[in-house]
Amino acid sequence: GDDDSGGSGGDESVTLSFANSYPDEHPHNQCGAMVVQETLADGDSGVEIEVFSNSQLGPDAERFTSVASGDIDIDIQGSSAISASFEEIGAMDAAYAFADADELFTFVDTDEFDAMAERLLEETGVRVLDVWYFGMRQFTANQPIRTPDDFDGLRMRFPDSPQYLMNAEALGAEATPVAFEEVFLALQQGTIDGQENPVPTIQDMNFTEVQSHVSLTGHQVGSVMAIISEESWQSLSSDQQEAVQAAISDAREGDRQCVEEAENDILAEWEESGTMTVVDDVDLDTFSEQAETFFNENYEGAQLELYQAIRESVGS
Amino acid sequence: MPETTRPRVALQRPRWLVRVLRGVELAELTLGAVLLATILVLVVLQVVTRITPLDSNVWNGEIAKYALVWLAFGMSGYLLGRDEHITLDVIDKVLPPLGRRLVQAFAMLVVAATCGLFAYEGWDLVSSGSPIKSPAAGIPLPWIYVIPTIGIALTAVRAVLEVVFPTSHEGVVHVAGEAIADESVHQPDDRSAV
Amino acid sequence: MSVAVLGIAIAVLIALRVPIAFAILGPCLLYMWSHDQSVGFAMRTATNGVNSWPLLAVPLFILVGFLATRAGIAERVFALILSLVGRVRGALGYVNIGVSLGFSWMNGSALADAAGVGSIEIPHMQKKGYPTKFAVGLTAASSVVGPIMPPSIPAVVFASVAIVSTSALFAAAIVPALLICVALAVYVFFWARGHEELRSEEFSWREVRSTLVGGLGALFAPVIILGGILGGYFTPTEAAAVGAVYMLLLGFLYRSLKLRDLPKVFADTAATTAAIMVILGASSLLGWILAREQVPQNVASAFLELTDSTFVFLIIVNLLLLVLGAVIEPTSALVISVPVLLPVATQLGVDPVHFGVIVVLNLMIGLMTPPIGGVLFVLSSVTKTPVSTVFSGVAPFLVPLLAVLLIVTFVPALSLWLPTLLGL
Ligand code: NA
Ligand code: NA
Repeated sequence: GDDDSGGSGGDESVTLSFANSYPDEHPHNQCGAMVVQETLADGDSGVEIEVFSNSQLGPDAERFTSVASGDIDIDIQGSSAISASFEEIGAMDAAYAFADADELFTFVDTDEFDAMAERLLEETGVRVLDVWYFGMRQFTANQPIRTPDDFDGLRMRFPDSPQYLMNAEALGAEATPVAFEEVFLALQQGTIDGQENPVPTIQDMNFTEVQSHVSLTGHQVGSVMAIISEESWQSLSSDQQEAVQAAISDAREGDRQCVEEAENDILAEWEESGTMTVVDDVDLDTFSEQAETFFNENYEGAQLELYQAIRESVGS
Repeated sequence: MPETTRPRVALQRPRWLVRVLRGVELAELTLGAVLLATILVLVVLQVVTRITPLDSNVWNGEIAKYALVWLAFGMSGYLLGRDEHITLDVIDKVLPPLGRRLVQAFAMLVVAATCGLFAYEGWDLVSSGSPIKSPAAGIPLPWIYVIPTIGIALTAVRAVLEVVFPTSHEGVVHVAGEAIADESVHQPDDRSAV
Repeated sequence: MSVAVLGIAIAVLIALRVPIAFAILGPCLLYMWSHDQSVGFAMRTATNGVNSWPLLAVPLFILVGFLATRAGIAERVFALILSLVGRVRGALGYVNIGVSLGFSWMNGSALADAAGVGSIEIPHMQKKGYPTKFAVGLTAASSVVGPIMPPSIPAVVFASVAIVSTSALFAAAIVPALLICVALAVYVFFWARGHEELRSEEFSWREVRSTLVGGLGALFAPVIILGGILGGYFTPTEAAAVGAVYMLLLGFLYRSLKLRDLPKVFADTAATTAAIMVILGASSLLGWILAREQVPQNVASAFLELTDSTFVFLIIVNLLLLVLGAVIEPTSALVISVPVLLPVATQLGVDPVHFGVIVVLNLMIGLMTPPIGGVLFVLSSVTKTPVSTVFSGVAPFLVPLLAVLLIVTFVPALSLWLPTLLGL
């Protein structure tokens, strides 16, 4: 941080930068970062937050590096992005690792998660403060996706990261990596037939104009890590650390509500207006069993252990 | 074709130094050409895998982008040696020869200092042992900065040489930032030796 | 170190002949270190500014231009257009515009047009009795069509700095580019009325047929590059790569390109690319500092306190960019000014794509204005005429160019109609 208080554990007031890639209107800013900012401003810990939304301080991978080096204090990162440097965390994004947000948070509150976070800290110098809910990832296409067989002959866009491509394989889809900004055009021109994202993103990116069906596969419980640079963390007094930790963790529930509200409102609006055909009779059992078999066979080492710890925590 | 569009190497540069610099330039040009060809092949490959049933891979686009980074910083020294970095040279038109030489020496000192510090930053990254890897291809972060660090260090060296053994820049046309295909402006000299 | 000091330091170093990339890098590096950023952070930020998929289109489009020149495309387009309009009064004037237009679909830079096409056109015009000043002036003026008509290097750079769709910006520039051709043609029409003697070539269908066959390969290039992008088959980066492969094949087919020419063409392209990219890297460091200090937001609110008139803002933008374009090379001018100006523009409801067209148009006109105007120097070197003569030839052509600039600035529909139609 470029603040003036270098004093390790001192009590002077500090300003922490809080960067992320989401637009200002996104729940992670409206109900997340900005709430954290207000909470800390209202408190007497002397911690002030400056929010840099919309990738102003760089794209995801670069900002993660910046948190590791202490050039950005706090950031929000998906597990898949972090997994380039700390492979096992990718399992958090495995298809059907969790059935819903409750299961996600059940695992996040276990000791296994804390131990994983501790290993992440040791290896990269990045401390996880908490996990926020990003929404359920759903498939869109110009036909329903109810079973793995429905992917036959479809080119589905997945994000350009190893964990997402494993998810595609686990679900039985043919993955085509396309840059996020180019997805709309690719769908419009038919170079890809479908894609997967949380409902609010599908709405924001106008994919509804070029896709007819959204299938509620809920194949991935999207989550993001609120992370802080260890260097910045250690420069805070213990009171300040407590205040920051509390502000981030207290925002978790409100942020989740905002995301879920947005998901429900948009789905209701689609059903009412007929913008999208909402397919809700997906064969979830077949999908999730197939995914579990796949990951048990294909994950190795620490990643397999983390995956199994996740599955155990949710009582499977 | 005017002969004046190239900086002439000043006579006082020792012959061995001139030969070494030629070798370095050749290496820089080869690196640039190879990286450009890599970009072309990788982007074409991306098109091919998209319109045919061939499998696409995640690292394709990422490597192409790093090739652009390496090309940019790997050729910086070559550009400085040839005075082909984009430069505002109005001052050349208003100053007498001695003033020009002084300003040029000052400018090269600034470049030497900047690139020296910058190469130190690069060296810090290369030797950091950082565990961070690129998202798709998994290239360790230290490897990514090897070429930029060398390229910038070679730029610093060129700048110091320009202070000690200045080359004349009379009649140089500053057009590097734009695509010039015409031989009369973009005289190739020994570039053809690549 | 404050942002104001940073800005002044950069300006002073640029004026003192420090290459623009390092004039930006040096002070930014000191800023980073004095603000406690980690060692290596500046290097990471600068390299990261170049690490972009849309920017990959820059080297590939430069390569297309180099290969097209090597393959003799300009000559073939020249012969074809000459055979079509040769009999008209002032024919070589229209040919000059037409060749720039025909070559523009393979070329993203004004200097490439002026150097490549100008060296064919100007001697031809001089031989037929056209005044050198007119020949040089028209060549300079029509060379701006190259980087305005897609593909366009400045448009790719703008799109990457402003984070807008390159395809949309390409589509938006087509009508303005055609408007420039029309405006210049009107100028030539009135000029030629005073030069009855300049009607020369005989029209012959045989000539048209033979040049058409030769030019056919060239005429297909825009179908691949433009059609591919606007039809949504390729991203601009992909279209550039496919275009380069096509140019390679065409060059081999025409036997004007040999395998042994390639290393040099690739090395030249790489050097030209590197000069632009190092500046983009440096400016991304500057951009990080501006974002960190919230300069764009502050400039926007300060400006909006003075006036909320879009008209006044656009007038100021045009004047600012014309001056900037006349003293700094376009890519540098673009990466320095756009991050600060764009937030004001969007707050005033100016479409970022339309704004991109305005910026590119301004900076390209700046290329033919002293003291820096690169096109002037290139043409002076190509024709061995003093820069002052070149400029006095160019000056009258600034009238139609500025007229088009005003129309494009204040009629957004001219830019936005096509991208909207294509759904980009
Ligand atoms: Na022309
Ligand atoms: Na063009």
